[in-house]
Amino acid sequence: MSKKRKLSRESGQLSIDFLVGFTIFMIAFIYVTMMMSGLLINFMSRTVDYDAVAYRTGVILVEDPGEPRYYIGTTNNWHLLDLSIPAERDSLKRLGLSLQRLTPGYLQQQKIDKFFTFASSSACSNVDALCYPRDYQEKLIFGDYPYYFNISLRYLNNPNIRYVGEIPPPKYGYIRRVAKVKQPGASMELNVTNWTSQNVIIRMDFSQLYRISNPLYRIDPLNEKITILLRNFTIPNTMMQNPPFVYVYPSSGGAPTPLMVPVDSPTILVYDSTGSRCASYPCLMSNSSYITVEEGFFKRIRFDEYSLIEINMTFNQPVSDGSPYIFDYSTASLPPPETAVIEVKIW
Amino acid sequence: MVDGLGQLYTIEGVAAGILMVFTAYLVISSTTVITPQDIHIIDLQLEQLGNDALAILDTPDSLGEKSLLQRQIENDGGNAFGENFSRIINSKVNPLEVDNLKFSAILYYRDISSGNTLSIPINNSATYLREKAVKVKRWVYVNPVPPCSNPFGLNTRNQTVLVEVLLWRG
Repeated sequence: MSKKRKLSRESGQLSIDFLVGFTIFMIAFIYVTMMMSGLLINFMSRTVDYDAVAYRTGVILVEDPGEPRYYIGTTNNWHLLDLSIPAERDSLKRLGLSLQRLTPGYLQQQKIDKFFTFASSSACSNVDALCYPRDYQEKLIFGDYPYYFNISLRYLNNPNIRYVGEIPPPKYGYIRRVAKVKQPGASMELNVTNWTSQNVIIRMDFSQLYRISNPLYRIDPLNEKITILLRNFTIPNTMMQNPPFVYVYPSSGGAPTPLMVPVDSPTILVYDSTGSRCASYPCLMSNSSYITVEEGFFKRIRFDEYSLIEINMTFNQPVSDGSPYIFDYSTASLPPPETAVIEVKIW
Repeated sequence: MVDGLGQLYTIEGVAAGILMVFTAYLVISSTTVITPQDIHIIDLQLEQLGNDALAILDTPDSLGEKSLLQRQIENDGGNAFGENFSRIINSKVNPLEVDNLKFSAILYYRDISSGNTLSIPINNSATYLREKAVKVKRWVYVNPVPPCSNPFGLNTRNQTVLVEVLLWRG
């Protein structure tokens, strides 16, 4: 090195050697960084993996039944949990919307309803609602970062949008899914015209109802509400004398055991001639009357997919021939499933 | 202490260190890294939506009923398929927004007289000009016996045909 290029000890200036070396280093560093992007993916996770997180969230929503997820048996699905009870809230592990793990793309309406029922995280501990955004981040989106999100759903034949989350920024991870949503509530119409008996009996053999393997078309009294429409009253002032009774047939055979229907929900509700819930009995009936077995009622009283039961109603007039009405696929019907579009946005 | 030959002065070392750390931070935090995974995800979005749409079309409304896709192949024809498929893939949650996805659908079936696998176009929403596209498929069970109009000229027997849809962004 010549004397002219040599810097004095007190000089604060950069040498040309250093600048050249540093420039080469930076070019090499940037080049290597670009080439080795896969190795640096963890450093970039907040900006690169939004699409991946959105995809994963979409898969959990559409293809996973959530946890707890027991579809049949006596254990509740997550949408039947009472989230105002801390122990039940703690048992909620994952928010999936599908009917079953083996039937991806078939969603359950009640899970959707529960999913879009939320309260802010600071005020949700004693209400039967999901905590926003904590439950969604911890039980649906997962991940190391508290991702922001917007999840929305709309039926194709309906302009109403259901959503949870904030307004997304211009750039976000995105996935759109389309799925079928099972509409709950099998219903059966009873012809309660002038006959010989004051007792109306509805028999439900769960083993017959659950023989259908595809849950999209299965009448599912353990997880969904059941509606019995009372039609063709021909005797004026026909009244239901008492709240309905449930009779349970033992699996080993023998006489059925009567079971008192609880007052609080989930229970069996009776609606009178005006469409209001019967508060006292006798309760006046008309052709717009119906009874509803609320979802979760049969699980509450520990029924399972092999139970055989009868719902017994007593009227003040002879409106039945005394033989039981059989609630099965030939007498009851399910509403057709709806097509829904779901969008997940993550940022 | 440093000498003058090939060594950095303290102030240069500190400046260079800060510059390197700062530049490294800038590079890591601001560079848009285009990785194969990203491209795969974009393809996957389209593929997922196409598979969802075919599954929806092939889901009957009630037990024992034929699905929309079965009815379109057996009786209703390609236009009915095109309308329904296009509506499903282009619908967004906001009812005022519509996506711009294009498709071209082909039906593959086995001709029993020749034993060959033949294909026939079902419907397409645009001409495919070698855009970046994905392909989705679904096996469909059909039985196009009269009174079905059998618009694609399939053999009138129980058979499983392949519906193949090419999807791309318009």
